Amino acid sequence: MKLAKIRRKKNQLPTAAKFIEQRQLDQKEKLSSVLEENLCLIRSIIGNSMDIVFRKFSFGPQKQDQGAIIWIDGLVDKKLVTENILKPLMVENRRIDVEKAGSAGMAEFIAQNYISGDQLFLTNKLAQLINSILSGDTGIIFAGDDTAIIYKARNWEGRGVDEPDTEAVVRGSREGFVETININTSLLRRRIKSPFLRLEAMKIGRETQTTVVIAYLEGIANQQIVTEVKTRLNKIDTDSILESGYLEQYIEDSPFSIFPTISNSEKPDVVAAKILEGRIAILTDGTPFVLLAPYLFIESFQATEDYYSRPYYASLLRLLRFSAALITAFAPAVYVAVVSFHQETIPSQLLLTVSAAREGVPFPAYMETMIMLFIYEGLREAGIRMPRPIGQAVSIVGALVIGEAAVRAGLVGAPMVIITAITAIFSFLVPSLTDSLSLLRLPFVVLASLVGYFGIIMGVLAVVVHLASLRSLGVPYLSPLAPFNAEMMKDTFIRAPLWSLNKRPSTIRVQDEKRESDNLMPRPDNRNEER
Amino acid sequence: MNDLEKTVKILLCLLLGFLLCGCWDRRELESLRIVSAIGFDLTEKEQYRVTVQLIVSSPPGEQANSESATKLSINSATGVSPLTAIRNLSHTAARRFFWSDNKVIIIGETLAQKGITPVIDLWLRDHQPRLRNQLLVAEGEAKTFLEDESKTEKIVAKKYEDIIENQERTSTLTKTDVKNYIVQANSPGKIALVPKISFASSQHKYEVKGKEKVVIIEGAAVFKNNKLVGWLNEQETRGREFVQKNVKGGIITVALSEKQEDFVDLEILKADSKIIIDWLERQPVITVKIKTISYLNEQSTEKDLSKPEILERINQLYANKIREEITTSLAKARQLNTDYFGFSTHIYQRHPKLWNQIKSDWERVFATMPVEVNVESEIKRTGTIHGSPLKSKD
Repeated sequence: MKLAKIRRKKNQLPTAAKFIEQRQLDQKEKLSSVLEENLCLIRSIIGNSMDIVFRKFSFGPQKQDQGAIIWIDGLVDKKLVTENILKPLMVENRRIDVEKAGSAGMAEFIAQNYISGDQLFLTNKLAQLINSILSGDTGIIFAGDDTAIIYKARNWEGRGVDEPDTEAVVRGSREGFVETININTSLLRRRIKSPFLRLEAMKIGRETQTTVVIAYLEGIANQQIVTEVKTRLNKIDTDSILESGYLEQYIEDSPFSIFPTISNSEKPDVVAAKILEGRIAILTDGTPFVLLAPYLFIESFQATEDYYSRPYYASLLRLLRFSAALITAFAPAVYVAVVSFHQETIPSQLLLTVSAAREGVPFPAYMETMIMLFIYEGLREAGIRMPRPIGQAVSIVGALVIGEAAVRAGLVGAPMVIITAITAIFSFLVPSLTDSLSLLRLPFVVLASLVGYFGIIMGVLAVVVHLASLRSLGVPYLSPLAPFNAEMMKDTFIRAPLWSLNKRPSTIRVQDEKRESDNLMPRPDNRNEER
Repeated sequence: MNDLEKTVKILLCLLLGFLLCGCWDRRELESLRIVSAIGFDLTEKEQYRVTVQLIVSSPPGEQANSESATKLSINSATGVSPLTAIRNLSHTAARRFFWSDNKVIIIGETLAQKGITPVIDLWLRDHQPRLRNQLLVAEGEAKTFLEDESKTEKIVAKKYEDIIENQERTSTLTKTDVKNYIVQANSPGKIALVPKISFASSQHKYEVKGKEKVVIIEGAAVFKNNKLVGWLNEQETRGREFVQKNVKGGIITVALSEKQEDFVDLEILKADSKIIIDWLERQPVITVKIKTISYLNEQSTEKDLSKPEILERINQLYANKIREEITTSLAKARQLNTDYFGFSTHIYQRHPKLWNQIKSDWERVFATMPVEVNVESEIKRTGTIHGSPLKSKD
């Protein structure tokens, strides 16, 4: 081990060895003006990776000038590089008047006069050059000049903009974010053309160097919250950010809560709407999931289509989602409590049916419930992980064996199967709470099996107290319910018509609350009627 | 205070909540036997006999639907008190009894005569039974009514409950649940009415084939100080129900002439009553004002009933009929010396001081005080046809 280290050191330049030792590039280290030295340095830092391409070339009237072009294979549009750099330098402009370069330096001279293409900049920092190359840019260095040209011609294979699987809609945009951050920012920019849309980039992750972009509307989003987000992101000192979920766990307010205080979406229209409400979006390179904060509890019950369809049915759906959340959290627990403690609360006819169904079931109600919940979670997970063609087999086995055969065999009561099914179906009505509610369900069943309704009530109390104590970037999680905000009630349990939603949600402390003018209610024009 | 300490303290506070719960007990549904009806009797040895009707449900796999899967089991046991008898019952059944779904309580005639105080007390004191259980008094033994095999309704208790619920179709039975009984029995007169359950006999208006037993719930049993003192027939019961504002419907048949076939049936739509108390020489004078609306629902004559003068005459007869029902019932009340109309309650509530003066002498006052019955009636409509289905001759 030690031997290998020494040997490696021998083959390397001392600077490179230092960097590798520290596992960090010195931001101040400058490029040398000797071409070979630069190449050697870069080569020893990056190592003998097969995907890195060094292409030396000569140009000038007598081919006396040397240069090198460096890129990562597969990240660069080769055609663009050939067309815009190599061809002009080597073929078309044989007679480059290098003399004219003068004091400005070769790189600047070439960049200004010979390289076409839009995105390029100059640097004399080694770290910047290497990082750019690794991000997919093309670096060009010249003999006798300590400045490099960084030419942006990134092009790699990526997924096209597609309809996301997680947030399907009937009405509304079908675009979803992709893994490439530039495409994602462009999707946002296409929706918000405001000059005040800020897209501020930073790199997080020592090894992955992941680009993270904070998007918000200047003048609407609370500046303090924006600063807070930046501070929290800057604090992250980790080797890798592979998904926005990494970020979420580093910056959330209550890491020990089972409730999410930062939401995510992979739909540009959702993210745009949230940004327009004064929230902050965090886009991460490499994932279509964009983080959104501050996040309120009631947002779990709002869906994009609520705003795209007319308010009446949307309001009904809102109420349905609220009851669905309650049902999915409490149905198994209430069933256990009723069957084991509070039989008198069942209406007579139902009591007969339930008691007939329970007859001969070998397990007590709480065991039966636990088994069914366990099987259901298993089925769900299997359904997600299974290769799609086999997925069907899982559902058939699940439906037939668990639903039909288990009841026939008298292992599980039919009401329990119904309860499980209701719980399962309703848990998907509130997608962002599915995880939390699935977790809550189990303790509720335990409490119900110990002391019945009383236990459930105790559990609810604890959960409500906990929810009220949560903050999302300093914003009370339960607002506008607690603290109460009358204006925001228009968009909580019901969804009021858009023309009456005059204000942005004020509890997330937006700087400019006014969203639209006050008298937008459509009315028939009187003059037109007279005609 | 650090976070951990805080969390622990909060958890401890929450745990304290568990001390708050009163009585709780886990009893799985499958370990319970649902009692749907209970009967109390007094045996010849002066012992209490309790009969329960249990619902035995079998798993749904064995029978197609749950309705047919339900069977009834009748268990019976005796003891020196109702509760001992119930406890003795547990030797006859493998499972614990579940009382909250009980529907009716039937009390045997002999027990009713002896007094039903222990039964009522038990029902109030225990936490499981409900006060909304319907009380019934059996003509004869309560047990025999629980053994009745119903062809239409699987659960007999449910059938009895439904019959009582249908009271407003005729108003000839009174509706008394345990709670209502207590209210009545604690009124100044200490009188309560409980519906009567009996088997139809052949001289009755119901047809009985062979050995078949037809259960009817009609009329009422009069309780005084928790003891049965007499029975009321249908008309007497309805007379009382008119005064008590309990009449919601029912048929009153009015004879138009001496001939049997000349009659008109009136359906009661609404009946309201008002008791006015006047005092004459420190004695109450009571006026019962009945206000009723009815409609003509059947008739056997060929007259055009839409004519006002005929309608007016029918209306008169109708009012007389109601007055007659009330006065007959009043005569019965005086005969039994029980004020089941609740006049004493009205006097007590409105003139408590005067009531105190006549309280000790109430039975005599009730027997002699003048009671006037005024019936104000109206026939609202004559149905979908005006006259007779046959063309009128006049």
